[in-house]
Amino acid sequence: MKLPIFWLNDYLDGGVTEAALEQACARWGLKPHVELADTLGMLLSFSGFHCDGIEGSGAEAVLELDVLSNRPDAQCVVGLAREVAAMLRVGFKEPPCGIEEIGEPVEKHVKMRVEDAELCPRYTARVIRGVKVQESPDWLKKRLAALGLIPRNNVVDITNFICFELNQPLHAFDLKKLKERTIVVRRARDKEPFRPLYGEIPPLTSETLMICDAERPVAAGGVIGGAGSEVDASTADILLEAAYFSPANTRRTSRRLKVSTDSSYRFERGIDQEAVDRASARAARLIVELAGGTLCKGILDSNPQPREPKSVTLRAERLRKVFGVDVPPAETARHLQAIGCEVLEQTPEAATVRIPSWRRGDLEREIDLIEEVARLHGYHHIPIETSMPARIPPRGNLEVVSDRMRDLLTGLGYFECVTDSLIDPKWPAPAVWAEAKPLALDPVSVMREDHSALRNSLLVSLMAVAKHNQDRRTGTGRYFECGKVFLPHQGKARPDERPVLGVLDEAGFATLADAVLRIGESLEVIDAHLKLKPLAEFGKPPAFLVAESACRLIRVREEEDGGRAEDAIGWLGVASADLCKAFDVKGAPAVAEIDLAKLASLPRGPRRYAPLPTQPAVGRDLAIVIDEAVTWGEVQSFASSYARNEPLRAAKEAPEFLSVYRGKQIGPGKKSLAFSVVYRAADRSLTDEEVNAAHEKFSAAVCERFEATVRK
Amino acid sequence: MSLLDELETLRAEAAAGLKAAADPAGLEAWRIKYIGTKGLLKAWMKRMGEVPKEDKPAFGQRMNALKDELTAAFEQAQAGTAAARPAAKASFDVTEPLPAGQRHEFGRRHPLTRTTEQLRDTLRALGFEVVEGPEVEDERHNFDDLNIPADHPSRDNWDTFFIAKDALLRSQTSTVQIRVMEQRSRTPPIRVIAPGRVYRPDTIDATHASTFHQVEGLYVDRNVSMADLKGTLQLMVEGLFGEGTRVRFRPSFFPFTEPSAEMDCSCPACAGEGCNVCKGIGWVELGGCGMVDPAVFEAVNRARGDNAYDPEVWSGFAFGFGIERLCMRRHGISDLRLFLENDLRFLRQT
Repeated sequence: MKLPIFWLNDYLDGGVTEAALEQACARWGLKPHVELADTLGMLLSFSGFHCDGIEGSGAEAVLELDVLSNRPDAQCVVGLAREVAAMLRVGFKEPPCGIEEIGEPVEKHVKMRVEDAELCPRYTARVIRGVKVQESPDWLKKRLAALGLIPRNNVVDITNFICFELNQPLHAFDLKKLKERTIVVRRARDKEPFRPLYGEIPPLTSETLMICDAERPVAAGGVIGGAGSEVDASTADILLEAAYFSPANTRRTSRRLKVSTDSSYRFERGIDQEAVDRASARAARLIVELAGGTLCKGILDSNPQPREPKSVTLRAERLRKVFGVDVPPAETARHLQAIGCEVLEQTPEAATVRIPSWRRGDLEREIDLIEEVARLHGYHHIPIETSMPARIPPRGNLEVVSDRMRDLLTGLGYFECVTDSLIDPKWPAPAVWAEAKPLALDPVSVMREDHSALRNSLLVSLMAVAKHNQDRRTGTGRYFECGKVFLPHQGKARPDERPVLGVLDEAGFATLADAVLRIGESLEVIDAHLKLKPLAEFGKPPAFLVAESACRLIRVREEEDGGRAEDAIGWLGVASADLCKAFDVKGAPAVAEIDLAKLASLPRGPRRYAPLPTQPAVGRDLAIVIDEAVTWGEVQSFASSYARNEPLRAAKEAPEFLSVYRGKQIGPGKKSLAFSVVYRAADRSLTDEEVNAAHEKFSAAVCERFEATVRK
Repeated sequence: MSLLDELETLRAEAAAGLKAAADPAGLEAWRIKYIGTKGLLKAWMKRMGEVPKEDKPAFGQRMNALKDELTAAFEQAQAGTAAARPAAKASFDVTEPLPAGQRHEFGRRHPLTRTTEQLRDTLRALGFEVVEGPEVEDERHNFDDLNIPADHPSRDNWDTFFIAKDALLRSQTSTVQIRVMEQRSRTPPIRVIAPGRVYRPDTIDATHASTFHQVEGLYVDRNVSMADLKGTLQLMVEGLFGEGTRVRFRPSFFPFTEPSAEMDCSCPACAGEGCNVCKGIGWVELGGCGMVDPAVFEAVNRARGDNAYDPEVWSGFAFGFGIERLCMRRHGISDLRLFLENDLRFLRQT
């Protein structure tokens, strides 16, 4: 809202003065600026009307104020003048509304019928006859121009002036253009023809409130006037409409017709229902003054349910409890009076006030008055209180696990990413967590096609990150993200939001697998462990991974009864050629996606300490030549289970992978696998002979099991 | 002079020569002269033939003893000069890095995570528990129960992405206030923060994003006042920007708080003196806050079907901050798009 200071001065005793500003600044602990407008803007900012900018200087300055949506009454110069008067503690002058109704009774010239008082709680009409439509005087043109409005003629200019002076949108009809000199306020008939003053609108429906003459609509109530009934140079008799339209319906109409005007903006926020007739009188007075003519006697006023006066009680104790400041009762009363409240009763404990009609929309409860007193008293009075009771807040599993994942992965060289949850629906949709396509946004709320679906895996987002970085040659990409994916939820409007960990590693499969397999250790998981299970063992590999690389990350729980329960908590593998091609990503990065909620449900430490061994260990290496098809995992699990039945082997000390070799000396289709095992007895040092014998036996068992030969 | 006497002379000469050898080169020359493969000791051994048969064992023992003595003396002298001299320059270049591929590499948390963690750590120290709420919400939690009724202009401030009827992407983390308070497992007092993603249909440019992050705070107890709010936020900005940072409130409006305020803090770049970061004002805007509107408590009571949050008994404050904005201030970032782009050069820097 623009506020020209010279216009504001019309309603202040003595206008805005340096002296008044300085005193106000002193009360608020602020330092005045050199320019009067700057100081006023600062003071308004501290009382809830943020000043966004100032044009011009001195009394000609125009302040641009941000009027918050709970203060429709301040969308006009008089409303802001009340605020300024309250803050500067200067007198406020009402604009003159006195009229001389010397014409014939209004009923003689116009008939009015309001058929829908719900959508139009109040409608008034006055008639002014014999006006001369001409150019407005300078004072009026200057005020409209200061707001950026283009002056048209005296009648139209006055209606605009009142709209911005008193927050009352008005409409002036040329009385002779109204069929049968009749006004009917009713809902539109389906597809009833109506042409607005400008622009085009969709066909009318019965939800739209129209102002009609005896035959047809002449205005969309509170939103826009119609072509064919407007005031022009030939107009002599005017019907002046001043009304109160239902805020909710005005808003719906404005949205449906896709028309927003100064008028609809005000009606949808709510204007002062009680002041409608006064604004009408003020406009009539100005029309007679500037355009001549005779004001008919009386006013047609449909106001079947006038609002009852409203009073609210403010308890001093409650004010102190919420505001945190002791405001003396006399100060409380002064602040409330300054914004137009009438104090009906005051004791040291409470004040009961009548709410002024223009604040009926936002002052309804005690808390509303507390806000007003706090705002006008000044937030700078609020002390700093830091005596909250001490407390150690609990930490959720998901928060802890996400944190640990960040610790682990950044420690291992991965960079955390934060990618958009809104993705391009044209991206491939790998079935990481669900077969279904990503959920699409409702087309009406789509801003950009490439941000119009909700991701259902992190994989695609990380592929896009890899592409971005590859294009810019930023180095080997190792990325992860902890974020939510959105999966359709059978029978529910809202999707399942699953927290997952996504990792993409250009360093390759083995590096990523090494990182992922450390998760259990970093979480201090107990009674369970994580392992990779090649997909070939239990299912068809997914299309987004290279088939032979695809694995499931499995959590294995050791049950109390000695049993083991396995379930899959994620994927790991090399991104398939199709997926890489879709994102134009080179080098087939390894990818993993893990369900964080399932990780979070794993039992975590503190782990129990096991006493350190008292006897020395003897290590033995073994290199075997085996068929390519045999995996390390198979050898490893054989060696582990063998250890359980070998008294000289420390069963908990797992066989350790050393290296794998392929080459001429081994021959095609074969590989040499080297690993080491540990021998240890609980009660004595082992002799070389004992160990050699045990190791021979073990080697033989391995060779038999895997049709291997020992490589010397 | 017998051979043994001559040998004694050699021993004396060798001892003196070793003492005189001051540097590695001198030592090496001594080694070659006396105990090297073509040295004097070897030459003496060859003279065994000249020794009478009965003296041979004694001479042999003597030669061996002398060889051991001189070798030991040489090693001792060598150790002495090695300790005294500075390390050879070429063999230990402290500036030489590990070969590529063997170096320690570590990644970094995303700057938004680190800003969130800093906020979280400060607020945890003040007793706030971290909670979460869904990102896809219904209208009741996103609007109605937050006192933003349908057909009310204040809904205009929260343009929203819809997925379906009554399924929308939350436009503010304030939804979590309702989610937490309506949990039957909780009763006041409540002290939580809720960091998370929010969504608004906005043109994407340097200062606007359609996906961004907020952190919400909520404290409900008996006798919570705006003074507690100011105190909490004062400690929070000190945690973020250091001791001496100040806060101030300006009146504002949010449907779910009353009284409401915008919260500014003294400019961290200039300590309130006025600079180009704060455009000379000395203060920067951080976020919105206020006292929980009784209408919100009433909505929660309706959802719970009890009167657990009787506004006559309980009061509370709430606040909400944009994490991107805080993060931009911390790192001097001017383009919002960098956050979701994840350029490694950006992630390594911040």
